[in-house]
Amino acid sequence: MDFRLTKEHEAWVDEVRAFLDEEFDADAREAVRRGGGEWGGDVIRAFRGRLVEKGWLSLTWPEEHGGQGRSMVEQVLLMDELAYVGAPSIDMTSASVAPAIIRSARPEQRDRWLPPIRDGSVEFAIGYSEPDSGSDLASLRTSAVLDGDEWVIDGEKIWNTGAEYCTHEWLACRTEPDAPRHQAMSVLIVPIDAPGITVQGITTWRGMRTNQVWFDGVRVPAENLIGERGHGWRYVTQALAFERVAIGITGGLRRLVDDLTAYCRATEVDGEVLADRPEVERALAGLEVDLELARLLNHRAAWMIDAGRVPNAEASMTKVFTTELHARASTVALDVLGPHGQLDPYDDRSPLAGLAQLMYRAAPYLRFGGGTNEIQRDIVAQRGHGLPR
Amino acid sequence: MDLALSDEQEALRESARGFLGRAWSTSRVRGARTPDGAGHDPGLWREMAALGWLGLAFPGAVGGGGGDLLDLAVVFEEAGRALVPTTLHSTVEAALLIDRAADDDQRAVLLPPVLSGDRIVSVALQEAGMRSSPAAIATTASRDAAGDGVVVDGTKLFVPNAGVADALVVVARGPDGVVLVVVPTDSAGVVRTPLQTFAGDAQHMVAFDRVRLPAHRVLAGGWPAVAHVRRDATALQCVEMAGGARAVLDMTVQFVTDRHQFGRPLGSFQAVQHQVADLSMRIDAAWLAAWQAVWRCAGGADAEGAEREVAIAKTAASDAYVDATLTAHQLHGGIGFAVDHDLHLWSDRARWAAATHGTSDEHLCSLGQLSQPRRVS
Ligand SMILES: Cc1cc2nc3c(=O)[nH]c(=O)nc-3n(C[C@H](O)[C@H](O)[C@H](O)COP(=O)(O)OP(=O)(O)OC[C@H]3O[C@@H](n4cnc5c(N)ncnc54)[C@H](O)[C@@H]3O)c2cc1C
Repeated sequence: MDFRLTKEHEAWVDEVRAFLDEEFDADAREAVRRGGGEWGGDVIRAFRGRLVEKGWLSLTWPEEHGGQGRSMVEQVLLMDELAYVGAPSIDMTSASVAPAIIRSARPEQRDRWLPPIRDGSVEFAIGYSEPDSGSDLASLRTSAVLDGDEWVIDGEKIWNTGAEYCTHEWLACRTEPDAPRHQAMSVLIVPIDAPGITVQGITTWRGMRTNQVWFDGVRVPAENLIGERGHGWRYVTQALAFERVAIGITGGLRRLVDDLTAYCRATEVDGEVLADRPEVERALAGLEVDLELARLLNHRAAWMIDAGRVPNAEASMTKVFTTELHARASTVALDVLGPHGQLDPYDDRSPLAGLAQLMYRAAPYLRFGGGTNEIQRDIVAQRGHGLPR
Repeated sequence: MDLALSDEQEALRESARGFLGRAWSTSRVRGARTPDGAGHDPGLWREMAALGWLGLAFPGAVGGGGGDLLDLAVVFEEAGRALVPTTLHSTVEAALLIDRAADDDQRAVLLPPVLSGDRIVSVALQEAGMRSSPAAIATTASRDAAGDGVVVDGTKLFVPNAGVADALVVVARGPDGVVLVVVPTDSAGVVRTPLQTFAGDAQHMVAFDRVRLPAHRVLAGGWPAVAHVRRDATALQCVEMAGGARAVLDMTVQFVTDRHQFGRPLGSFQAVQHQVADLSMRIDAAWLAAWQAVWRCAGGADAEGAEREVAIAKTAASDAYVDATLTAHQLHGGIGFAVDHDLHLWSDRARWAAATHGTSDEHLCSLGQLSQPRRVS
């Protein structure tokens, strides 16, 4: 047993930090902060380009696929550091879709899709949710029918984050209408500029944009069906397990707790240093405990992947624990900060540069996104402990 | 990073679980809960000693097995599952304290009979009005005016297993600060009174009324030795608690699988599953934190800063174990509330453990003082 980062890991963290000092300067930080989560913004796109050049979007891929063959723990450390400085993170194309392709796609499909993902020219919007199929994903209705050597797609997706700037859709759809629910689904790759696709923006509370997407007789070549027909459920749940480990990252929370602690030590209210108030000290210590627990659960899930296991219950645990903590920690922070906590990030009087309120408004999304926490708890109980469905 | 136990440790776990499954049952746990607080099972004790558990983390020179804190933690986790009497903790903690604070001669005399199971020892630290500050220790160890010995005076509370202990390591105030005195419990002037706690376990008030002892009973190490060993013992206890919490979770999962209402197993109801899931998550987190703390204390990394991990682990373990038992009571409904049912045996142990080696409240306070912003840029 060894809880320590290896020398290699530590060197990796140093390398990442040095890179971020260089590449994610105050201007970039400011642009991200003011953008309020506009993930398609110029600064973010440019920064993403730098991550591509470093090969960090394909960090964990095997070398034979042009990756760096590094561990999932290293990817999680990278994501922690990115989140810590408020930089855009490894997106779902790299964190969730690419690992699914590597594990499940046919060899020629890997050759076709991995290189352009690696060089940043292919980026996926993730098309799982539909207006009537959220948590009950297996009930989805968007259909694909084989016509000669093309799939013809009809249906409607919602919450397709990034569809306005992504190049492709990673689309879950029904291809086997007569099969049982969990064997009815396949995954198709669909160019977003294909005729018959309409993308319409939806603005969310946190300020970020997401989209509704319609498919009307959209045609893609037969070989765009990933892996095998009717096995889509397995690929999607596998991709979601990776996504949940990525959502369980704790670097952003670390930043919140660090900044809040520093603020409380440096700020007097009613003539008393905030951190000297027992209830504040206690609240901060409570966050410190839960944050360490969240980190352990997240790093465990990554370590399991490195050990060749697919975390199921464990991926759900890190997702639930971290995202519940997001809600709790940002609530604690806003309570401690009082009225100042409401100020917009670009107001110079805004404490912690608006971090607390940004995280507060992101928290609901994190708790239901990537599979709601209720569904994750079902997974822990059913897959982790064998309780009946 | 490697969060798996070594093969040897896995083997040790398996054999410990197998042994306790055969040799120890909840009816014997009940048997050890006597009204006078004996809280001990001599038969089990001999067997555990024969397995080398008491000496697991001590060098061969004093009769130990030459392992480390991690090996001991494997055994403690299983002991926690199976509710092994707390004499195991208190004796190991006292032995660790002797090992750390004594000189070679004292060690050679004191430790072997303890590690072989022939003598039971415990630590007398807690006093009224004291939590963890050495400044609050009122028990005195003064020079014996009549000779070159020492005289101990004062009253200790919540001394674990004092009723069966052959000797106590008493933390007292000497002329130049905190000293440790090994006091045989049959010394003149030692009076042990069982405390009536709700768990009916073995905690005593021990009064020392001008107890005279020869000078070689005084150990050289003072408060730093106490603080160090308490840290290690706390980490071990966290693992023990995680083991207990998992036993409670397993038992509850089994119960909600077997018990039917409304024509379905209880465990098929989502409200039930979600309580199970939340517990499972908190227990896994506490387990990871506990092992991280033990690993740190064992010198796996710079042991500076181990206090932080221990404080986190104890808070998490106390909260998870108490929560596990309370949720288990809820999910068991009426049957789990009957004393004929085994559940409360763990509920009692959880509450004892949460109050021992620092409550969550105390650990949060110390954490408030310890934690600095880690990476302010
Ligand atoms: C900003 C944003 C970005 C998103 N990005 C993407 C994306 O890129 N791609 C994508 O495919 N999706 C995306 N999503 C969709 C997201 O994953 C879904 O919102 C989520 O899975 C929940 O589905 P739903 O909204 O239909 O809620 P519902 O499934 O209708 O659930 C509503 C509530 O009911 C509860 N509930 C539902 N079923 C059960 C049950 N069986 N037991 C107990 N409680 C239950 C849920 O837990 C939840 O609390 C995004 C959503 C948002 C808002």
